[in-house]
Amino acid sequence: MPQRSLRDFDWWLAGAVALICGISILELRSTQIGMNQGLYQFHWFRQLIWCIIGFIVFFLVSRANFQRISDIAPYFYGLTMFLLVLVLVIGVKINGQRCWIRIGPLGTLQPSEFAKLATILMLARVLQPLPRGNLTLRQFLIACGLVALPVALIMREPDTGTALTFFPVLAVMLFLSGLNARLVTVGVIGALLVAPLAFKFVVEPRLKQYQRDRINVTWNAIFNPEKLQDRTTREGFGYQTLQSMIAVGSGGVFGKGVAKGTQSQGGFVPENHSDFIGSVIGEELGLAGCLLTLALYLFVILHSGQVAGQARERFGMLVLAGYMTLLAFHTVINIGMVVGLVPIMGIPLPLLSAGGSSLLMTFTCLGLVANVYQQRFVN
Amino acid sequence: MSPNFLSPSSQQGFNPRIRLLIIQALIVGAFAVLGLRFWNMQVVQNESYVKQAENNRERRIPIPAPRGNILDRNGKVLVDSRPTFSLMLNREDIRNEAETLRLLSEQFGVPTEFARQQLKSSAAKTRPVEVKANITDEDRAKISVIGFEHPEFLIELQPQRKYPYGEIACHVLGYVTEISEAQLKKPEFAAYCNPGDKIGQAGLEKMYNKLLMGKEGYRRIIVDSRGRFVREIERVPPVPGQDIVTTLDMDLQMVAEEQLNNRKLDGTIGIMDPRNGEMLVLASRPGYDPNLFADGISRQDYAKYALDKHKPLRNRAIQDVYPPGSTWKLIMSVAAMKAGVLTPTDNIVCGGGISVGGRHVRCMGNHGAPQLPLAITKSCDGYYYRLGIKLGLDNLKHWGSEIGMGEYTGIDLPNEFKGYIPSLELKIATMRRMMPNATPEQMKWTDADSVYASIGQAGVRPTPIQLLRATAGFGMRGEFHTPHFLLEARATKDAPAVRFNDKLKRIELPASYWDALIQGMWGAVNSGGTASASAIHDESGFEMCGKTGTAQVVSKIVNNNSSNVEERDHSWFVAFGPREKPEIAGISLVEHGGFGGKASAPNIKAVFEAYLRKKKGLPAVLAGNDEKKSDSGKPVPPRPASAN
Repeated sequence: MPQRSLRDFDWWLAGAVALICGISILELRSTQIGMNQGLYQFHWFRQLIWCIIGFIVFFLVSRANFQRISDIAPYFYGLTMFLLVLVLVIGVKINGQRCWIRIGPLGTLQPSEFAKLATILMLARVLQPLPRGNLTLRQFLIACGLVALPVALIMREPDTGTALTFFPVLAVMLFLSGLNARLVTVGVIGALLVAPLAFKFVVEPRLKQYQRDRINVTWNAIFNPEKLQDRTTREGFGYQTLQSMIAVGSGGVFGKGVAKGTQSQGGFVPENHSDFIGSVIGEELGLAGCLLTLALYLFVILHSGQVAGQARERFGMLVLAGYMTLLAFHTVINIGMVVGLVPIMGIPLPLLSAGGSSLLMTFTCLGLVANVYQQRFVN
Repeated sequence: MSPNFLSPSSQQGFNPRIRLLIIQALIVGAFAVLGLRFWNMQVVQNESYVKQAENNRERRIPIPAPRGNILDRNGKVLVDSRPTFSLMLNREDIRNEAETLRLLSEQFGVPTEFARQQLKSSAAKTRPVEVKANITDEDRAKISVIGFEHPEFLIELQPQRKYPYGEIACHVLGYVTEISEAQLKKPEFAAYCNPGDKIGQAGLEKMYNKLLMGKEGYRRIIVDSRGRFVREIERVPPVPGQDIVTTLDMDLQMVAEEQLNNRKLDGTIGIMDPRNGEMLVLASRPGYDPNLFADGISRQDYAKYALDKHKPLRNRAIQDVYPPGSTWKLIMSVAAMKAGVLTPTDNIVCGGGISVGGRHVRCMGNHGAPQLPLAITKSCDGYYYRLGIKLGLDNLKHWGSEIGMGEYTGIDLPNEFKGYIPSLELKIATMRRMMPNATPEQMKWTDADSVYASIGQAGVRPTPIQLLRATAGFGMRGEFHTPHFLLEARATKDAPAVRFNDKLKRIELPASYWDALIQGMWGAVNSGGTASASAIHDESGFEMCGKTGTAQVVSKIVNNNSSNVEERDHSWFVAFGPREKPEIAGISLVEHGGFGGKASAPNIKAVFEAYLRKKKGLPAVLAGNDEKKSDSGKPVPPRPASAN
């Protein structure tokens, strides 16, 4: 049995993840070269520690009893909802957002990261049974409610970006639970038609000024790049996007070399250890590094989807598909931010961005993928 | 509840695997977009981004070129630049303008309004701008503390222009201020000036600005995102400006200034070497302190100068015109001899005056029928009234211009005035202004006009410098040089020496004619003439030849001791010496000084005597003669700008 389980272990997934973690540590180290501070203050070192913890979690989760996971899902969901309320009360405020709970020397905990996994598990649990192969209205409404609660709490932090990630997950999981194809088609087409109007008359008036500015910047980054050179934009709300684009664009085919990026080393791109780590890769590793990174992520995502398709139970399929969607959304939105295609919102790049909660959550989810992978042929 | 609402009506009508593939396809599509974007940015537009990345981290910091010093002919420093430190503000690196402005006003006392104005200037777009000059050591210490969080604060070594002699020779030296936006647009400045440069705005500072300024250098440095210095990648050193050695003799200049100060009246003294046009002295009172301008003159100080009715900013020697009074008789004499209407042996009746145009115009005495030398010595008006009629307007105009009256001398100072000499057009213009109802008859040039013009009234308005040049030329028997201050702009390793290009003008007359003229001027000082109180008795045999002038300011005859100073006559004296082979020529004008022999001739005498003392190797100023003079190294305290 141990021999077999080692042979069946998801080595491909583990390998891809290890490569991504390697790139992460390499480039995080590059952002803080020459700094004179304690080892634990370095992002790369903390990332290394968290990666080691992460791989242990990955391994443990991959061997866990999947039924047990389904059983504890409600408690896990309840706990994370409690933490989401707690963070609003005792959370640490950073940049106007209350997203973190300080937990002693370990650093901070970001409950919204765990809420994503808890919600996916709960959704899968609710949507798993398909009486007569149909999704009932009751299931549908409960699913919506399960998402609405964390979204509402996270919007209070406020962390719009994180709140948004729940919707594609919900949509995909409903879609895979047999939502009427015609309804989906009509819904998608209708949404595409209504979206511009809805944006103009419903969303836009409710946006805060900084959100409106960020959307403008993105619009210009795509359609009128010369407008980014405007002084108020260049030095104001467009600064981060423009500097990130300069970093990526100036990287060229093979990049400027690790620790040799002028933008990254000069500190021109804020948050380049977390949300904007992509700009460092773009600048220092070039197109080659970017395509390699994209390929690794795509592999992890498609692999998760493939394993989901092979899952023996709907619960496992739904969890993996939900996670696949979440990971894809994070990756596309985050890299889209870095290259100026998506307005800036606080969405990290899982595995690459520095951050313990995100890493821990990601490794747990990938552990679930490995778990299902190992069990796919077991009868 | 109809479950069919949400799910396909046919059982097992959906295949989750196909639906999964659809989702995966969408994801692949999104990744493809990202891949294309990377390719577009990193390959197609790579060059543009590389350039932006370079611009991002590069700063060009100008290194000011040291401005050349200005020296007198003996090497005394008249103007130099001393290192001072300025607090500069680099707009590019300001993160939070409100915070920066608050720090500026709280820590350094810079008014917020001023700082904001500086930040809006065109200079601020490309370079750090000065917000506080001459900062203290304490300020510098503060900046180095604040500087890490606020890299927009920079300390720059700024050469500060200093004029150690204060008001002395201020009109010659001029002053510097920051170049104005309007000046920057002019092609003559645009070619070599940058916003924020200090340029000469008057005097030699302006005239030789380009030589003095040199060429600014720069450093190209790499900075981080907060504008903090990382390393230097290029340094182009500045080309220092050239030192300018002037023809001024500061010892004589001080004597002249002292003379004017003692008169407590406005006026000017100019001393020139007639052999080459080198200006040894040019004093004009009242003056101003150029240091105030160089330090960034306050609005109040500037208004004080600009609104003062004594016009301290004006260089009276070249920018003011006056009726020359009897000094004009020298011009008349040469013009008449040149026009062929006078020989030195002609006897012309004085007659105590002349009746012309229905009026009798008096002479000061009755000189019989003098010849030229006596007419000059005694300043006989009657002689010149008749000569004026004989000469006529056209001759006067032509030969007056030839001698340089109403013409630019070409002195190397900016904004020289041209002055006027009599002409029909000038008369008509004056009549139109003064008497709008004048008849065409009154618009003609009459003998009465010639009479008034002959003694330096009626539209005769040369500048003092023109009279000085002419006097020196007469002393040189028809050899006229261009008055100038540039002895040499010293060569540097980048630029060759520059000297003044003197334009010599000759007016040929028989030697006996010049002798007669000079004889008359000699007599005026040395033989019972109008300036006999100012005769110089020097064992070397130096004799001064001169001519006084007393020019009416108001048309009525006034007592020159009148309590109303502004109604008193202007006092003139022009002179050169020695009689043969002259070495020095001078002019003195004291506004409302009264009789020329009283207020002006002693001024020239004092300077000439100082010159003679210097020539013998003695101090220019006699020690112990006067308390103020005893400390000759120090500048004389300037007289307040407005005396009355």
